[in-house]
Amino acid sequence: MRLQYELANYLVATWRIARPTDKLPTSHGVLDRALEKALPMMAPQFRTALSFVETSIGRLCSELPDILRAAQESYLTSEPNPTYRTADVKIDAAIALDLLDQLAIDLDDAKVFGLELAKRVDEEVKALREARAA
Amino acid sequence: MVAGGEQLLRALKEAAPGLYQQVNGLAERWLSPLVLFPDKYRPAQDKHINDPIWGTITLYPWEVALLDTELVQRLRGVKQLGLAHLVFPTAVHDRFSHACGVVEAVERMMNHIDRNTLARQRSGPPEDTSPIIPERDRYLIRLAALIHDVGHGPFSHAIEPVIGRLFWQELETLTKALRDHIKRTGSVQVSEAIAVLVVASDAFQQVLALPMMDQVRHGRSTADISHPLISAIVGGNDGKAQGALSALVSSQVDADKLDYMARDAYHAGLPIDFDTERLISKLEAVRVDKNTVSHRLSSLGERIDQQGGSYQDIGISAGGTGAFEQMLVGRIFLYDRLYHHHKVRAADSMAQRLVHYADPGGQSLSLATLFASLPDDTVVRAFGGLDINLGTAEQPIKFPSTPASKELSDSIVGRALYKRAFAFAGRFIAGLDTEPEQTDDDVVGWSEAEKDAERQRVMDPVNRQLADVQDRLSSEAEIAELAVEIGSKFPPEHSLHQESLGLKSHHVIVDLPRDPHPPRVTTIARNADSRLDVPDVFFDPARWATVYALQRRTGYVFAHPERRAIICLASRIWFLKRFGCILGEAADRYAKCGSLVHKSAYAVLEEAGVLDSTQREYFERPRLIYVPLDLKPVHVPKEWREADPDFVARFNTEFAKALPRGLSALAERELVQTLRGVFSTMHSWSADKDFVTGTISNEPEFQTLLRRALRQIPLDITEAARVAGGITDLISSRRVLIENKFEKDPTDKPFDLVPHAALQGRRYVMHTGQSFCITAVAYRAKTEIGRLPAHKCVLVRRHSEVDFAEIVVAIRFGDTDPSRAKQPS
Repeated sequence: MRLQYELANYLVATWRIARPTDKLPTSHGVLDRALEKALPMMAPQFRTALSFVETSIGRLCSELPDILRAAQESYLTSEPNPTYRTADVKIDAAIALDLLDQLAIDLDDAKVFGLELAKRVDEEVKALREARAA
Repeated sequence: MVAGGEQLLRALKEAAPGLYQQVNGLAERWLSPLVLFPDKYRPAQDKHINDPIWGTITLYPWEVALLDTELVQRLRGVKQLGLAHLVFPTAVHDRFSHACGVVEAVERMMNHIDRNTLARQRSGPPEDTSPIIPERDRYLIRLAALIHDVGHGPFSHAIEPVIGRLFWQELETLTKALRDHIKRTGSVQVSEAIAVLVVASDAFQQVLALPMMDQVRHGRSTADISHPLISAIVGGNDGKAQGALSALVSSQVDADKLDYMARDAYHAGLPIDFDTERLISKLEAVRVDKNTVSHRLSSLGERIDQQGGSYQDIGISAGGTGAFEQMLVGRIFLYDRLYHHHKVRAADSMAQRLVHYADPGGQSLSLATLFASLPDDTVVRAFGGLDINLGTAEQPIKFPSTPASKELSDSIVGRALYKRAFAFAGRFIAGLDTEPEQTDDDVVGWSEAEKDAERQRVMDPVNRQLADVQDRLSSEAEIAELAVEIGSKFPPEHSLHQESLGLKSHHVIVDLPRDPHPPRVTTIARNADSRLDVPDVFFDPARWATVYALQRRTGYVFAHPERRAIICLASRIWFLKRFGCILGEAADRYAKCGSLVHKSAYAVLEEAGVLDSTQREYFERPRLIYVPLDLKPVHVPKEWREADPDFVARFNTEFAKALPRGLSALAERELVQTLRGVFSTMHSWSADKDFVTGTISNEPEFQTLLRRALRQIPLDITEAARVAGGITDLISSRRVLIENKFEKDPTDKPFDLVPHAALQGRRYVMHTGQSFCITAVAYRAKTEIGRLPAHKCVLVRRHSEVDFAEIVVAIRFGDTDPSRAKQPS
């Protein structure tokens, strides 16, 4: 359980550093698939904590709902709005850096993962748009 | 890897050998009478059971045979809601009746799926049809429903963390083995893992081989039918028609939930209703292919290709969306009103601690003990020392017991439930109240975002440090120890002193609720146009449910009823010292513990040295916490620390002198991270000969350089001109002002250049709400003396006339001698 909160801190802090003004995608399995693709860049202590399983609506990260809830419980992101597809990141850069300090994550490594995750999210969103257009 | 039954069973046994051995022993004990005397167990015909939820439940003969074994009969003693009946007296239903209910639920689900399939065959396009469910598949799914809960120990879910602690490593490898061998296996609960191993056991395999099971086997081997049985328990799905039926036993809309939600609400007497009939009637077998999925499900394309162009799944038709939403939302109400009712939480936590304190080292407990066929009430007494021996002379089954577990057992039996002594949640943090309860001590002018940032500061470590049972047990020991110390500071006749006598860890329970998994819509729905989609297009009930649960989430410290006041006091002090947090009166009102501690107690504790005067004031007048600056070595360049090992400690001390009252905790974090960025920038610039020998023409240019560098860190840097009219100043995050100064004439005393910078910085006080600033001075050294190494370019000073602290950093440029650009430390 503690690991879920640490993962939440890591995920939100790295996203905040990579995309200071962007919201965190929370629907359509976008973040799930992006996380799986960005997994090789993830901090080693978290890499094995995630599992990805097939569900009726696609491949999803089993732990992600718990991680996103942990982020909400710790006031890192906004509470989910039933009609929104994203969550606001509430923390500023200073707090993101502080969270990474507490996790003993190297800042450069955190940036690399954050940017990779953001890139993968972009790819997933693009793929969804293309599927819609088709 | 997906394999047949034999391979699966072998893999499961190898993945969890210790756990399997114990489960195998249990299964032999439970099932051997049926294996040895099958004719005694098999009734001649179906049996019909009356049930308040489903009316009549019909069971086939082989199901009745299994039902009458100890494997399923022992579930009569396992209460569905643990100790909730101590709070809801009629909630005494058990897992046995639930197991029967799930069998009936899957039967009705399959009936409706077939009816809807036939309807589509009559009216829909030929390719849009699924096969009718064969009898042999029906029998298997019903069997899975019957045994899906046999892995539950006493007190239902309350005991799972204890078993999880005993076998955590094997449970992990078992989950991996299941995922390797069964497609679409999700997370596996402890009780599911045990149920899976029961299916794999020798005795259960022998039962499956009995002639009475002929219709279930339908010519298949016992290992081969074990695969779909196990798959149904863990919610796997291989995409074939039979595999898809697993969803009826374990998925978002499964028979398990449909039964337990209705049953729990009914027996607890709670008027929370579900449109179960409607939901069941809208279930469909769906054929998933590229022509039917919406763009949102386009990621299924790969799976569709792998399955040869299409596969089978279970979904709902659009007409069932309302009932589906009602189910997800209603479940949250059940958690709020029933499962997480504060007294139910106290009772369940007591049961969990009962088992823990009976065998703190986990040396004596075995599954044979935990799964002895005893009712929960008897298990409570057994852990309290009641002499029960169900084993044999060679293999006795003894329940461990200690004085602590005996006391807990007596409390549960006597319904002396622990009571709330302290409540904690982000919404209760003192000083963040808004109208109409706002007081003079509340922060003025803070946005909701800033208040949430303060809540984050407190609740993030609280959540992390109290997430695991082991951590909570450690916290309970610390609170108990503190309570004893506090009690000793009061006169012997004082009630707080009396309450503290003999106080032990097991009198304290720290509880932070979490339902197992937040809801997430993973059900597929067929829209009116026959497209398959996710039923959350306009409204996501899972999100709604999560918001509700988040708002209601409150942590508690429960206390032995006769020690409530001293534990309340100790909890408050422990929280302040551990998490730097004072909770407002709303927390006390919420937990009904506002009158437990008189304010005079804090003065006694200050005199005794337990609290300092500031801490006493916080308790007497709850408000936002102020803390000293706590710069850590990691925030300062390594080279600086090597050159000056005392740098960090000295800096913190000097800042404390400059601003004795400290900072709001949020400002402290922002200042620490800003200093880290400034120091890092100073260090890299001082080592860069191009910078040191380069030219800076004026203040705006200096500011641009600094702004760019700090944004690279990355810090949130705003031009102060946008917020307070300054031209050459920056604001880091929300509270840290960086006043920039530029001196064109060379000097060897850069700190003397800007005596009034702090006064200028004060004009931002209204904006930042802070009494400090960083002044960054760009200067050129006049002589060698002025070429200070970077770590000596930092000064903290107090401006007592305006009650303001200033951190001055001097940044050198314009050296004329490149060879001296990089100064030795």
